[in-house]
Amino acid sequence: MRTKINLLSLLLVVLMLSSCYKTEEDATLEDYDITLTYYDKDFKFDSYGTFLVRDSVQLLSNYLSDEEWESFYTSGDAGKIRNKIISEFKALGYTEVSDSENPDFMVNPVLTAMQQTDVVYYPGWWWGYPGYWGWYGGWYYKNTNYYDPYWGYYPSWGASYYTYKTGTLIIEMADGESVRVYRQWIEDNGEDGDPNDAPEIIFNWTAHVEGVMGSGTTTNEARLIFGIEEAFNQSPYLKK
Amino acid sequence: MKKLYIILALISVLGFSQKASAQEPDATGFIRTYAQPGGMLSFDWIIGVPMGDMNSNFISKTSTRGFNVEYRYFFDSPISLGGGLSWQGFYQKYDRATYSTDGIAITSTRFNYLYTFPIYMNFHYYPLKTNYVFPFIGVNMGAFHIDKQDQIGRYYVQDESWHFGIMPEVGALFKLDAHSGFGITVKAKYNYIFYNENNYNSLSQLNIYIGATWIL
Repeated sequence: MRTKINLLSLLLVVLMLSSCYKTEEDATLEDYDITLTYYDKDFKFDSYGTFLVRDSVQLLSNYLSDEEWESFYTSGDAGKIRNKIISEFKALGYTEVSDSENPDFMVNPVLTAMQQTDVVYYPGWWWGYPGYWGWYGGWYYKNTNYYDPYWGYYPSWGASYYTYKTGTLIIEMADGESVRVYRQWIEDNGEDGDPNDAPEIIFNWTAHVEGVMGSGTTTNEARLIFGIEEAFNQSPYLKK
Repeated sequence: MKKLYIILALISVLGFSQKASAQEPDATGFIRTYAQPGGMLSFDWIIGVPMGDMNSNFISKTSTRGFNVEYRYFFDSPISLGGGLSWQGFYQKYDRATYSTDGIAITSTRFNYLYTFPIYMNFHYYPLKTNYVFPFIGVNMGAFHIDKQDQIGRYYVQDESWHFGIMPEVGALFKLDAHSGFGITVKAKYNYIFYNENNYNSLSQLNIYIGATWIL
């Protein structure tokens, strides 16, 4: 009887211990995509009628090779993003015009593609924090092991280094008149002008579509296009 | 692995010590421990159900990630005093949704985490004495370390802090063998953590403990 009971108690303890090893989290890369918009609440968007989207998407990056950079424009990625933005504004009831027709607002899309390296340090288990072996990993790991296909993962004693790439598309809606005043100021002052005196460009609406890049270009692009849709869905006040 | 060896060693020591002190057990079982001061050590698995503000504002999902270790010292009366510590992890994922406030809207997935680590004192009273079932009521109080994280997308805000907490308790110890020094404990504690931050008055959970208990 005693043996049986001791076995039972052992089983209980083992059950308790094994529950500490739970590491799975139900997160996918897409779960980390963020779409954020902000706007001037006092502005009446229906006072705008015409718009122009800048001729191409500006690209900023700290890791892209010259070839990749070029391919962004030649492969049609930049064009897809631009066209998506144009069609969204048209669907809201605005009319696309050329620069010479003095659009009411001008849209500047900027894509930043950044690579960064981070380090996580795992406290030694003897420090006594429960669940070090992965349980607590619920958050220590949240930026690492789900992305194994996307970035290198170099465990060493007590610390891990990892790199990852993020992509952020910023869509700025600038007041057309304020842009024209600014351009005039640049023309008048040239390079000698004090930037502090430059007239302010007014942004009434800004959207950020951000995510950690996956390995599939097509998937990344689809996520970006979906994010642009989300940005417009978030902003019902834009509708004319 | 090392951890496992320590636990195994602990168990065997406990097992042997029990045999070594195998004086003829009297029919009263645990009652003996009231008369002869001694202790009771429990290891429990915790199932936690979020309550109150925590349930409505943060995490409503039941947690099965938790363990507890506690010790009780019996006096020459049906009461015991002791202490313990435990660890619990709560987590909930909220599907992609849009949150708007004052000119800003954000669409993403939210992940909420709460890890609690209480170190507490306990007091218990045992109203009934039978050979197999020993019900008790008690109260625990102590310091709770909180690690609370609100995550949206891959960004999170973390609050790590200490708070006072109180845990009223009811439960029972079940012995399978009246003569053995081992039993199964089932108990419920209402964890009330005094957490007066933002839109919270408290963080509270109803916890069910299932554990192994040794009379030492």
